[in-house]
Amino acid sequence: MVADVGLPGQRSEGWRLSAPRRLFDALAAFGWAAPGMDDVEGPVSPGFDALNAWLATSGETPGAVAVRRRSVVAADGARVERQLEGPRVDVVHIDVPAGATVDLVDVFRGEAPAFVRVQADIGKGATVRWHGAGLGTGHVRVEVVARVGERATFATRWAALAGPGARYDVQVEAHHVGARSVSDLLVRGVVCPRGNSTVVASVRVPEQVPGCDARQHLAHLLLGEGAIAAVEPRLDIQCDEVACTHGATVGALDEESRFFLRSRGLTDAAASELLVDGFVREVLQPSAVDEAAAWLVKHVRGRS
Amino acid sequence: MLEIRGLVARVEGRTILDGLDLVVPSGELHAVMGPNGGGKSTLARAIAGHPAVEVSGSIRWNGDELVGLAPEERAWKGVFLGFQAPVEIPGVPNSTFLKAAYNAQRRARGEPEVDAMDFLVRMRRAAAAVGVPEALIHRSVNEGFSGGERKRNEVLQYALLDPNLAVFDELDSGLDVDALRALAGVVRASLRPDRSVLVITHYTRLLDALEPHRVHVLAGGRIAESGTRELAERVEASGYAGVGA
Repeated sequence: MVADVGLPGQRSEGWRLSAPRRLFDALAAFGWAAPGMDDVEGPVSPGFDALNAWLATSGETPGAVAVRRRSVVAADGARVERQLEGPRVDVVHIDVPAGATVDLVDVFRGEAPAFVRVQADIGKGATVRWHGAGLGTGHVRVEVVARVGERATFATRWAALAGPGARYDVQVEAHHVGARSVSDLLVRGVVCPRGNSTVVASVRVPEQVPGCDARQHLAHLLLGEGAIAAVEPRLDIQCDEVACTHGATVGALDEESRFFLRSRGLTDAAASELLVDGFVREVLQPSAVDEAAAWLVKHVRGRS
Repeated sequence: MLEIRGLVARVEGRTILDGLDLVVPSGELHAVMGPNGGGKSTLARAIAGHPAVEVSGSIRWNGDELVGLAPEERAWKGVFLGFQAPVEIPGVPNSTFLKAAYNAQRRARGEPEVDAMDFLVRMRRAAAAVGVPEALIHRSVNEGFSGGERKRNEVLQYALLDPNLAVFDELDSGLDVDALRALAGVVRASLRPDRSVLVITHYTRLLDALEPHRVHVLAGGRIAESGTRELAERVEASGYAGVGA
């Protein structure tokens, strides 16, 4: 089992944006009764730290919410695709041996709340690719934490399609523990009015780990007033010899692009749909494309 | 025939065009020249229906009033704008965009949509005519394209969508001499009795290849002077200061 490296920010801005109280209350509505989750209000609330600590030590399954804990050693070439519907609390630790390549695909659906934590310990020269897609309407908290070993690669792709009422709260941390390791994070969020998408992406490069390459590109589209996106790249770089790039954007559909498409005969609704489709397609896994297309028809074409 | 009467255009509250009159008969290619900031691009956007351009006056195409119509409704009537700086649309393959636009116009005209195979044949034929390589068809719209490739892509859209009224806003910008000649040749050869073409440019070198029927100088928000190719040569020789009423 790998060590729990934790995530920064859960006691500060990230904690406020993540709203653990809301998630715990939503889980409680399905019979969640985990001890120690009561004191999550206030600026020093333990929030998800407490939940993670409890999950690491407790063997209980409180209430009616299924709690899954697994610790696995991944085989080279493994591809695991999970269709995740709440209510659920799910923690998986994955050890990836040196030189192995592993693909993890998590697709979130449905209306019920979920807390999912993926923790990977990536061995020398190994590669882990995590692809996530949020297509449901519930409150979902996802934590993806990786310790990236020497010359290893940790690539993440996250697409959030947050319709009305949906709340996606994603925390990704790449902890570069080996020299010349690579992390690459690409996020695309599309948020409707009354939808909410939060992404906190952290990169840690300690002083004694040279030659690392860390990339982050976090972008969100807001589809009207009342849509909320909070995107926060966090870089904790202690080493001088590092290549690190990051970009974060939140904005509306580009008016010039819409006009361009409309001038070619597409209606405003069809133009918007095409632009949003292009925006998210890069990060979608093939298995999520059809569902995403249906979402776009409903929430983009339908609103115009 | 394109017939513009008393066109007033405002952008962000500022009057750019102030009572502009212009007629481009069917079967003719006209050029509009003018100093920077004179309103040439605003004229092009006003014809195409850009939402940020507030207009009053009249823009008629074959007798139909365009003012008040959405950009797509103008496209359905056969209006095409070749952009000065075509936008990038990441993630949307050129072929996907072109097929969506092609079928949207056919739908609006009550014609049956074409399927993927049929469209591919038409697209390849148009691309060959314009000199667009197959690779550009499958890349995201204008993403990573050079200036010349973007302009070729605009002319590909023109060739494929087959409009009756085309306005090209600085077709020559970003083009080398050979590409300029090639694309101008495509546009010149596309003239037909039911089509009007309006080309906006700064330079006479484009007019050498296009051989316009008329040249207009736009200054102070209006057409200051109209004439033949000789007018463009006069502008080239002595600038815009000596042109106009």
